[in-house]
Amino acid sequence: MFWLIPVFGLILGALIGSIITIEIPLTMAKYLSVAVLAALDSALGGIRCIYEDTFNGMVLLTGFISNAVLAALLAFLGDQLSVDLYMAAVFVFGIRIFNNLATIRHHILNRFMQKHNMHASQHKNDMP
Amino acid sequence: MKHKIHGWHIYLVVTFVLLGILISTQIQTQSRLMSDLSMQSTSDLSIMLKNLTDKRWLLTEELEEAEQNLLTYQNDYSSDTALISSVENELNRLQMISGTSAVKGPGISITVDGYMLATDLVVVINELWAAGAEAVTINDCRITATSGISYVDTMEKTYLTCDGTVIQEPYEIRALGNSSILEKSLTMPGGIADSLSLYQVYLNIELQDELTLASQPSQLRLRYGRVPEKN
Repeated sequence: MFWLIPVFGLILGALIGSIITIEIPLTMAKYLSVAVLAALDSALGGIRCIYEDTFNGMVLLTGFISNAVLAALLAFLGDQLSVDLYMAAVFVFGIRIFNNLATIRHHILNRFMQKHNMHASQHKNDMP
Repeated sequence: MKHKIHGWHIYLVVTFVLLGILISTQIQTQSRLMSDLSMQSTSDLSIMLKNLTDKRWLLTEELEEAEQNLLTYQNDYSSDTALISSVENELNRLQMISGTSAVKGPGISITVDGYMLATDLVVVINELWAAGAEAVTINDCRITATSGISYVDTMEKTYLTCDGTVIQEPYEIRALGNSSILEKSLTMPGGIADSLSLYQVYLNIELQDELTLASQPSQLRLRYGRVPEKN
């Protein structure tokens, strides 16, 4: 039931977030949204790594935080230089999120198919 | 389901808790943004602006009508006796003091160079009143007994307001009175001009022999106040 862990984490985080209301200045809202996108990408990347057995907790956590902060900083820098680096971040993280989702889906499907095949072969063996 | 790597549960939970906090914060911020005036769509804002402008025109028309009435009453009675003329003098004097009529005379005009805060503006005006100014305007906004200096914040800039209307830069403050006393009150060592120059705000003061200060047409109507009985 390992997929329950992120779901519970997410719900817990959302609850904490709604209980402690963090007042972000409205001018920072744009940068926060890029940070959320980066964080989402990192978190999905973590799940993907679990399926690929290359999971490293420290790498995930540091990547999660530094990606979010760097994405927000990059968007901020872009605003200062009047270049829409914000769009670049949205584009890149958007693609990566979809990639990660697709890979996770493949892994889940593979697992499911393997199990199914195993069951089928077991049934075959059971048969006299 | 068994994995080779241990301890991933904790990291994953921490990551997703953080993600949840981030997302809920972002949702809250977004909903605050939607209700913020500076984030309204241009069409909504223009409709709001149009409504308010219409209202303002209606009120201005009403005011003009009322002033017209006042004028006819004044004309009706001005042909009367010396009593009337003394009353009229008194009326003029009170109108100049209250700011409902324009006023001219010697004084100073101050052009502000730099980024001034609302509180700085209030200090300058208080200094002028204290130095015996008889009338003060900021960019044609007459300071009356019920005037308020404030500011509005937009995403790009902070605007000063006088009686709710935005004052555009450059700020020009005019004060009527003894021009040299008025000037000294601002430029004395350790005075407001000195302390403002620390923040790169400079007051360019010009002494004028003849200044005209605009009137403030809106009159305060007393709906609650009464004259107390004299015993």
